[in-house]
Amino acid sequence: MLNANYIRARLEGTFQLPFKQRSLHEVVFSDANLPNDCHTLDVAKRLLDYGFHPPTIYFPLVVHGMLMIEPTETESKQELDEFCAALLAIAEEAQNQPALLHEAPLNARTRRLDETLAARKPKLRWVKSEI
Amino acid sequence: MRYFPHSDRETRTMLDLIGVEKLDELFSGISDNRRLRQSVRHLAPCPRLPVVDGTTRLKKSDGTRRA
Repeated sequence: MLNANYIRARLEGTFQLPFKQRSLHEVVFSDANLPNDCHTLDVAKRLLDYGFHPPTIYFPLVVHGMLMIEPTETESKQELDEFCAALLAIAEEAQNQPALLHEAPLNARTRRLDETLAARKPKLRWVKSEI
Repeated sequence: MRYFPHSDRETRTMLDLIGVEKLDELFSGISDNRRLRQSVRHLAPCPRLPVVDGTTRLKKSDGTRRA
């Protein structure tokens, strides 16, 4: 609860906050005020470049482009600060270098996957790669 | 009850940014029952899985879901 509210306080001036009341264990933002056609998916993919696993995105569905962050109470303040700094940097990139978001992740082992294809035709059995 | 790793100074910094004086103020909006559950949740023992020793068979599900 402390950590969620801390993240909320750090980011609420940058990311749109659809619910104004104090957070319980999670904080949700939307992508409504991201410029240059940047969306929640771009933010999540860019977070990978900063070394963070993206939080839940597009859920719940009550707000368009939701980014739901649920920090555990065991995360240190240093970790929270680094996470917030990454999101603030990404918001700045959305303003000045939107291509970085549109093409993210740039440093991950794989680029953007076809998630729709993966959901519709899942490969449930491991097959040895020929490469 | 303290359950986070922040120092007192860090906690003070975080509360100041959030805009509350005391940690209890953060919890004031939730009911006593919910607060109690949150405070003891980490103390609850993990559910134990049944031990299968080769002679014990797990009971097969009858296909109905328990409430």
